[in-house]
Amino acid sequence: MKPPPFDYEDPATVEEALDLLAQRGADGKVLAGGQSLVPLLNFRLTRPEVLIDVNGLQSLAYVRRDRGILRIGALTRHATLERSPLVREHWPLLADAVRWVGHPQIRNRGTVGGSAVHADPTAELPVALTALDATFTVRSRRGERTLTCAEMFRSALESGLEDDELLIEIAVPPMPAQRGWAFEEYARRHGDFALGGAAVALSFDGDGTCRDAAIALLGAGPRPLRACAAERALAGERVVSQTAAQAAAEAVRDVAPTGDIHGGSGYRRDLIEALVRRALLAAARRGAT
Amino acid sequence: MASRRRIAVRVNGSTYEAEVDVRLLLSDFIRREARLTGTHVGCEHGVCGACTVQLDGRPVRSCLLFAVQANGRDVRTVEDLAPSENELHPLQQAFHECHGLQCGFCTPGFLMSLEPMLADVPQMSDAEIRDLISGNLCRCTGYQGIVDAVRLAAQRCIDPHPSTPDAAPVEASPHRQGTA
Amino acid sequence: MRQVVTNKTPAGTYRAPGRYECTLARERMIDIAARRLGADPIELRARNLVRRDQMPWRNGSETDGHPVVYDSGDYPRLLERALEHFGYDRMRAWRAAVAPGPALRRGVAVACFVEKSGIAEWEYARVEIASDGRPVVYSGSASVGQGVDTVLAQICAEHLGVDYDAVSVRHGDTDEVPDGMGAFGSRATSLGGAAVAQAAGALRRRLLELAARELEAAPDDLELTRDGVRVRGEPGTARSYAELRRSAAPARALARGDRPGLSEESWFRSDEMSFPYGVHCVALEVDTETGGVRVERYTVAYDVGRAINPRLVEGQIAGGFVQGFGGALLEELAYDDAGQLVAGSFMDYLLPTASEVPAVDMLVTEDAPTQRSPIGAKGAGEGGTTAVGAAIAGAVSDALGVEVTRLPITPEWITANASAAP
Repeated sequence: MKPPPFDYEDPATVEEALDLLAQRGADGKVLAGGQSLVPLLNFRLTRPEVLIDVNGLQSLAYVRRDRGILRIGALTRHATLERSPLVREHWPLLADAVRWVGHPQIRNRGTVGGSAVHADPTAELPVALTALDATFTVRSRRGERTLTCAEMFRSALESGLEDDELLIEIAVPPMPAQRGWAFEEYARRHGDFALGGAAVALSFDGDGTCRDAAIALLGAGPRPLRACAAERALAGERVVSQTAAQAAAEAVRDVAPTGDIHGGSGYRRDLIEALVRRALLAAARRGAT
Repeated sequence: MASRRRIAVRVNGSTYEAEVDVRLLLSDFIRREARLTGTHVGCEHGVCGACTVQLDGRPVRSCLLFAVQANGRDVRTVEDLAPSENELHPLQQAFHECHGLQCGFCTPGFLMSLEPMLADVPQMSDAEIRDLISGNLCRCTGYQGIVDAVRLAAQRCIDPHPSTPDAAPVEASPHRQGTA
Repeated sequence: MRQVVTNKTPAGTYRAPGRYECTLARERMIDIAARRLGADPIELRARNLVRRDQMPWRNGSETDGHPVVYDSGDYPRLLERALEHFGYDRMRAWRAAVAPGPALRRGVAVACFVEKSGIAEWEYARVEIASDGRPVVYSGSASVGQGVDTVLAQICAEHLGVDYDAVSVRHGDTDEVPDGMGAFGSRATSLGGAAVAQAAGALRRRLLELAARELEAAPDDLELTRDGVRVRGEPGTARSYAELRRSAAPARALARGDRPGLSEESWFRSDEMSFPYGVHCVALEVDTETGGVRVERYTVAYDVGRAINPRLVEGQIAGGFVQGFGGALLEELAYDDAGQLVAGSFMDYLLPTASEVPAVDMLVTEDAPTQRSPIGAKGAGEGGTTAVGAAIAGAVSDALGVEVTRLPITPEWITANASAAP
């Protein structure tokens, strides 16, 4: 048997799940798609006393638009997001990003909420959600609260949820009508966690200059980072080779990615700079059409 | 609460009931309890794809699911593909003809991943087909025969009697046969 | 005597062991020499190839106590055919054209190699006519998915003179096959097939002698068909294989003073290996910012002496190529400073997926059958792998203007050396 022993609970309702989390959340883990958790269990790199399987909470599996805001239930599978015409039309950055997650079999099982709570800084969805200023509704017996991306993605593999809290919904504000976007990443193999990447969303004024820029960095640090100085520098500018290169340099000025056998810190930093520049130019091309 | 549970999983239309450890992986349930050993267990950490089965019609890695999670659900394994003892599924037939397998260890995973996607293949480029199968590792074929097989099978699903594929079947074209 | 304790992963040989590495070193040296001499790397290779009229060629080294003597080959011809198949001039033009992005650089390279086949001297085979009249091959070789069953059935059919699909092949069970060496070192066809050819040839002679006696004809006037042995031109005068098998049953055979049964075995032995040879050509594009490598075109030309089943030879090449590709760009048993293996799972030990590798273009040739085996076939298992590291390293060097001297070539190495390049 590969995984270590654990107790297994499969609540049928959110209320039941919250009760269980209140009782045992400190020693347990929530099992959603399991595409990251189960490998860790199989390697015995984690030994929770209890797994609280939320796959029965079908009320948390939805993608809908509500007064312009995209609402994604935490149990929504990656594949559902990928195939959603609504997401493709109105939040194309998210649709582009989710296609980079693992492989089809992974996306059939993995959940959007699971990707968020797992808080892997080299995962695609947290970065895209950071670029889009998503917010996260979490609930416990104690009540409900909403987290920003900065609050949600605290550090590597560390979310902002308390032990007794369950992620319920992710809300994504509308992208502007006059927009450009791009998701860029590089991994040594298709479907692997990326060595670096960037999610970019731009809005444009009527004269083609950039009104607002959102630049989120993948793999630049322990969590998805917004390149705020670079974003400010682009406001009011045309996004062309020179301004994109300057913004990209600015974006990685203070970052220090963690290196490993697949690439050292300096390599990753340079990679992210190049990908930010490419993403900005690709977004600008889209915005121009 | 308990660390063991009684479950009933439909595998290929038959229900298998057993009391299992909650940490039993679905891949192990399929092989040990249902005694269906066509599903192969490779890396057991979700990379190789050899253990891919269909859960309610969708390809998933059975090493990343617990058997208890399949309680009351429909699992489909490679044993369910061929319509009869003497006949292969068109996808299996295409793998056979295009030399899409050698040792065969990865093959069940490829087949179960690809089977629900065949209808989409005719519109795909080779690069898209390669991305489609990139969640399954093969160490023998170099993937070339597999890409050929996917194309052939998809083509046959549209037209059951297509003209001879570019890639001639292995056994139909031994270089020299007959008398010496 | 000095002993060393290591906690490194135990290593064994697999697919072109040693040759993959030494081909990298040799072909890189030739490329570097060409660059320093201002010579064309193809021309430098062509000028130094052993010619056909120089065969057999003693290369000066020894293996297992035997001098290494290349048995046969037309290396210049294969190089020429490989370049043509690859479209060398076209790919040079592609290299010279403007790449679709400022960070992209293109490179083209060629690597030549000689492989070996048929190590470990001998292999066993037995060919029988079973009681139902069907021929059965028992082989000491083994199938690892390469299709050796198909190949041995073809060889048996050819040397026995019957239809290929009538032959069944058994292997892997010591109850049925007493002796055997196995499938490794490109030997299953070259040695296993040779043993089958000898046993099948001997069985054919037995069948002809027996049928000649039964049909009162000269063995030379007989032919083997799908159904049995018959007198040439007289289809009515024939004995089925089942009839001949019954005629060889102990009571009848012993009464005639014959050896009973229709079973012949062979232990084919060859002191010397045979030497298939090949050429790999690659055109690729390097992204100097990500360090990614995209292969535009890859050609493997391989002369295996005789391709018993070309489709299966291509299967060996295509699969071998991807293994070699992994070694060139992805796969490494990496350790940290404390000696801890840090690539111990498939998450970090990177086998190529279908998305990283191109379709490989193949040219299988039969210019130089070996005289060291009755079937002329050299082994085909490893040549898809042998020169991949050398060729990709050569093309990346060509793209960057910096010489690659170790594998795998990592994205980090590429980006670091792209910025160092002139």
